[in-house]
Amino acid sequence: MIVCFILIILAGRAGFSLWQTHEQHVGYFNVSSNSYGVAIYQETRRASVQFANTHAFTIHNNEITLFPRSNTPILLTYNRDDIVIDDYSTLYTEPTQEQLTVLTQTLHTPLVKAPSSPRTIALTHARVYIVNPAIPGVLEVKIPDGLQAHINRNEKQITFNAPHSLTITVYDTLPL
Amino acid sequence: MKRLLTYHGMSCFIVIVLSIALYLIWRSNSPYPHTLNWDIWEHQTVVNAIRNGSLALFPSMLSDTFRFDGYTTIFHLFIAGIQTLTHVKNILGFWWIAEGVFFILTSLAAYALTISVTRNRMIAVMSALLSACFFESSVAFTTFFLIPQTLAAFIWVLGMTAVTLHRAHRIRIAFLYSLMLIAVHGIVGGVGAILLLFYAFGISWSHNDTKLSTLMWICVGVIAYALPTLVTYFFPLGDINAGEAQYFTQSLTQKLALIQQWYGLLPVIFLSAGVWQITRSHNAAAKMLGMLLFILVGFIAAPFPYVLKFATYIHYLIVVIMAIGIGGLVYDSHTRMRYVLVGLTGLTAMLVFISNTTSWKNPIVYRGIASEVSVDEQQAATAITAMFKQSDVMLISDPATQYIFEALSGINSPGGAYMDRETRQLLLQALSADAEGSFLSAMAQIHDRLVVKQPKTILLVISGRTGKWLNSPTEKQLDISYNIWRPEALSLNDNVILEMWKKRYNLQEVYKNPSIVIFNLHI
Repeated sequence: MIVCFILIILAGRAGFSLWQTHEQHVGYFNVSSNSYGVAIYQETRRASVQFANTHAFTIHNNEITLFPRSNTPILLTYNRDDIVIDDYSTLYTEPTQEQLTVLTQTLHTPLVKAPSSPRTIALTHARVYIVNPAIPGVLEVKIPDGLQAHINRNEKQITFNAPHSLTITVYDTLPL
Repeated sequence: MKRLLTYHGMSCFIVIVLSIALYLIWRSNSPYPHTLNWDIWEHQTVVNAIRNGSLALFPSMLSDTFRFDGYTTIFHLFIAGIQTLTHVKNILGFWWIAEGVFFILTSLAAYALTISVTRNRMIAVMSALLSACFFESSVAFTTFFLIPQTLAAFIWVLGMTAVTLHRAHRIRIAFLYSLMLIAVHGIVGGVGAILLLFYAFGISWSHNDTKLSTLMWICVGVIAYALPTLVTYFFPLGDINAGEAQYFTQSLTQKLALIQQWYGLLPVIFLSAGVWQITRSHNAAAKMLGMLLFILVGFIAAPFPYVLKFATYIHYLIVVIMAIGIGGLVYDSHTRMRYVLVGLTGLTAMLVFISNTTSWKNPIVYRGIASEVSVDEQQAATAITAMFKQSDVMLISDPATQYIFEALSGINSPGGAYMDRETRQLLLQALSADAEGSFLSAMAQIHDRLVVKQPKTILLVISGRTGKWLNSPTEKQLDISYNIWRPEALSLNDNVILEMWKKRYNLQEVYKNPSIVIFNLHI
């Protein structure tokens, strides 16, 4: 009889496994770990921004801090349609004219297009914003002091030259 | 009475405390006043109509959200009465509290039925705990949702308890409760009434033959499965409720998967143990419960539309019989070991509860809150109520948005979530029109089938849900069972389309927040 009860207890393990894979929510976004690192995404992982080579994250209010695996810099992969802007209103991607008009109206400031070649260029300012036009919300990536970051527009990636923690701030609208 | 309170007081106190704890776990990421019940919007729309002075026998006469009358407006009258007497203004808050109270009452009902059958407090408390832990998270929604079918099941359990306790007047009591059941829900309550009368008559006929019991149960189970299966074979029933029913006709495999999600693997051992205990006992009431369980299991296994609604009754039978099974298994154990085993089983039931409810709530979590309605939507509904409540207006949006807004604002919409195919086509046609004239012409053709004189003003509500609905495949847009259940804020692409519509259709914006834009159209 006791064996029966133990079997039943084991059958209830589903609850524990769900606790372990519990998603965390920041603003419009969800955050969870996967085998590649950490993903920040919305419902059913649509428009997921992937931070590879991260092994852990912490959340404080609307800030997510990502920690790299030892000796491997974090690699950020965004989506094909994402719009990438820095805090000096430089636009690194190619949104549609209509999207550009709405963005300019929202920001009350014109956006300056970065040259389209070379396809990999250095990000010289302190902050980069990622907007997926199909979902609400904005991700702000703070480039750590002393670190060099490059955007590869063919691969849709932002790379860093050294392993360092990254702070991602989640906003409802562009804070420019 | 005093003796009764002393005898059951502590047990009921434990049941109430456990139920409150489980309700708070259920509401852990859905705090006051956020709702988790998608169905309340259609009921609240009818309640609003009653509170505004309209009265009718069937809900479809008060709101075109209802396309099929499975029940009368008794439930809505009851809710409208409470809302009016308590001067309810916060609709969401009312449902949050009402469903909490109902949840505690369902646990107490399971306790009452079990004590009436077994006269054993430990088994009754176990039954109540199992009732609180088991949530039929699809179609039935027995414990957490306060809707006509769950209220019918609750009344049924009270009727079963009364029949068991008052043997001298059991037939009279059964008839009285049957009338109440039919009044609350014509179909679910009707079947409940038949089961209650069957129980009341059957409880008199006691026998002690184990083999005969088992054989009878299997026979009635097979008949309960075969009859509806034959009916569906000869008469296509997919057209019930204008096509929605076909989406609620699950296969046996799907039903088994749902049952595993609701109850875990606990019934495999404890329900079997309970059935075995009952077949060997001389308890006529318990034997009848066993027979009802076999009838209902056979019935819900049949490929009948909406048949899982009857799981509202199975819920109570399962918890009583499983508790009897657990009681039987631990009966010979040492007292301390008995408490340990019962405690561990309770803990496992709670894990099943957490697993089931978490996976059910996850898809609707929005900004960290599990609810079908966002704060932005609540604020927008409040704003338009203040602006347009007394005006002659109609509200039009995607099915999910207008379903919620109609209930929260009290402003009429064409069909709510059950907008008919023609209206969906007209709305899609309007929103893809290339000029203001054709846009207004299509919008002017959209009407509420219950309203004779069409309003001259239309509130066009565009939400993040609308954007997602418009991006869905056409077959989904026209599908009555498809909704955007999770709240959505407006994306950049949504704002691009809104800018285009504003210019093209010359739209006049009357309200805006990050999730909602409302335009005022004069037809």
